[in-house]
Formats: sequence, C-alpha cells, structure tokens
Amino acid sequence: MSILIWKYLDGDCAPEEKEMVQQLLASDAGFVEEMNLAKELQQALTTLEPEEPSMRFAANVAEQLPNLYHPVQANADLLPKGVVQAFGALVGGFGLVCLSLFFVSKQFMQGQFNFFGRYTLDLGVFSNPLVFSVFIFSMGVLSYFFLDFTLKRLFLRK
Amino acid sequence: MEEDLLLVHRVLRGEQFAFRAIVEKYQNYVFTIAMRVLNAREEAEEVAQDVFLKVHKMLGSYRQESKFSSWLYAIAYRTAIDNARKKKLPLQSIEAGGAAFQTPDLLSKTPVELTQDNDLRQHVQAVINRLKPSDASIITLYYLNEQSVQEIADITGLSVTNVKTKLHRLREHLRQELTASALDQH
Repeated sequence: MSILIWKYLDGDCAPEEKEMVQQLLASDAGFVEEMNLAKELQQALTTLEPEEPSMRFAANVAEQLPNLYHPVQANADLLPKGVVQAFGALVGGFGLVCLSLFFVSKQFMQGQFNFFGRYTLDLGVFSNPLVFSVFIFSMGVLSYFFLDFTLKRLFLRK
Repeated sequence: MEEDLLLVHRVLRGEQFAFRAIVEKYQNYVFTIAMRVLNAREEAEEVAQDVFLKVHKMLGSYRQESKFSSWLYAIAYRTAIDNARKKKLPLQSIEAGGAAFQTPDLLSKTPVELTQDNDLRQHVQAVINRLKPSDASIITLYYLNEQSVQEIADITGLSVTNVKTKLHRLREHLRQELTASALDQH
C-alpha cells in the first residue's frame, strides 16, 4: 500500500492505480491517515534548506584558482575540430596543388597562370616562387583562424 | 540550465568572475552533498572546495550530455565518497547496514503537532543526518538538488530501479519513524 501512496505523490500512478487511490481515500480512514502523513513528509522534504558553508567559501575557492588557472579555452572541445582541420587541409592542399601546377606550367616563364584553360591569373609579383609560397601559406593560416573564430562565435552563442 | 551554460562558456573564454558566479550559485548544494556523506563540517568544506577546483579544471571536458548541475553533483558525490572511503567511513545503505534511524530523542511531538510548525522539517533533517551517507545523498539529490531518478542513477552509478526502490524504502522509513513517535506519545 505504501508503494501506491508514494507513486501517487510522485505522480507516477497509472490511471487504474490513481482510481484505486481515490476509492481508498473515499472509503478507508486508515489509508487517509497514512496519505496525510506521507503528504506532510513529502512537504517537509521538498522544503528542506541546503547546508551553508563558511562565508569565505567562494573567496577561498577563488584564491586557489590563479594557481591552477590554465587557458581552458585551448583544451575546450567546443568546436567540431574535424571540420576546422579538414578546411585547413583543403586550403593547404589547394595551395600545394597550385604551387605544383605553377612549377610545371609551361606558362611559368610568361608570368601567367592558367586555371583549367579558362581563367588566366597574371602572376606579377607572384612569379617569384618564394612570394607565391608565402602567400598561399599565409592564406591557409588566416583561413584556418578565421574559420575557427567564426565557428567559435556561432557555437558559443547557442 | 541556459544560464549555467552561459556561465560555463564565459569561464571557458577565460572569465574568472563567471566561475565565481558558478561557485556562489552551487556552493550550498555541493556542500550539502559533502555533508551528507561525511557528516563533518570542516571535512565537507574541504571536499566542496576540491570539487569546485576539479570542476574548474575539467570544465573543458563537460560535454553537455547532461545538465550542468547533474555533472557537478556527480563530481561532488564521487569526490565525497572517495574521501569517505579514504577515511574508512561507513557508506552502505540501510538494507545492508541495518538500523540507520536512531533519533527517538527528537521525536517529542505527534505528527499532527509536528505538521503545524517547522519542527517536522527539523526532525526530518535530523533523521536524514543520521542516515547512511549513500542513502542521505539519494534523498538530498532527489528533494534538495531536484534531480530526477535517472539523474540520480547517473550520479551514483546505481540502476534506475535501484534508486526508485531505495527512495521508496527511505521515505517509508521516515514515515514509519513519524508514526512510531506518534504512537509512543499516546
């Protein structure tokens, strides 16, 4: 019977159990007494106050934090790192392909670079392989950080 | 929930004041869990501090699969239990450990009188303080920390059925204690 009382008070009763409780409450004085005591106990339990630590508790914790502090953000797995890494790899890979094409291209001497026979890029200053390499590398690094920053902002706003 | 996540993200961004807010919000609840397990203020306070330092260290690994409070209470519960084990305090439940309620001195009123004032709450609190740590923690997590049965199961490592059974038995014990005290008075 006690199981039924606690299920009823927790709101876990099936409809037929609920009906049984209603019937018992209407006909059984002993059950009513038990239910009232259980209700009072439930009420007392739900209004219990938590224990309080000393006044300096939060300050004590805060004082210990600087010793422990690490840039947690660096460890935070907040981003789908796979996406960022894949993007970085894509940009890096594209740069490498461009560089390779640049070196093998017959147009190397002409200072022009032809994309798929349709688009022509006047290399100008980029005709220097070192400058071109640095440019591609910088683009890759910047893209990586930009994507990381953008995703972080998007993610943290949620 | 939303507020907790915001605070967590702010801490992860390096805002130490946000962590202070987390401490202030949860210190009483974490301390209460430690008190239920250890039943000694100084030790409970030390454990509660350890809990928050651990939480700060592990915040980056919080996966948001559960509520932040449940994650925090799980760390609090395990830290307190580990501490109690080191100090070889009894942890078993009432089923294994026998009588856990021994407060006849506090039972000075009938249930009807008790319900009329705060004595009932104080009495219930006193009885909970005398429960075995694992049992006291379950009652505390359910009523004070407002964790669901599933969340308590996750925190304590017990099965959902086991938590339900324990909750039922513990409340039944409490109720019987009150009834017995009423009969003693008559």
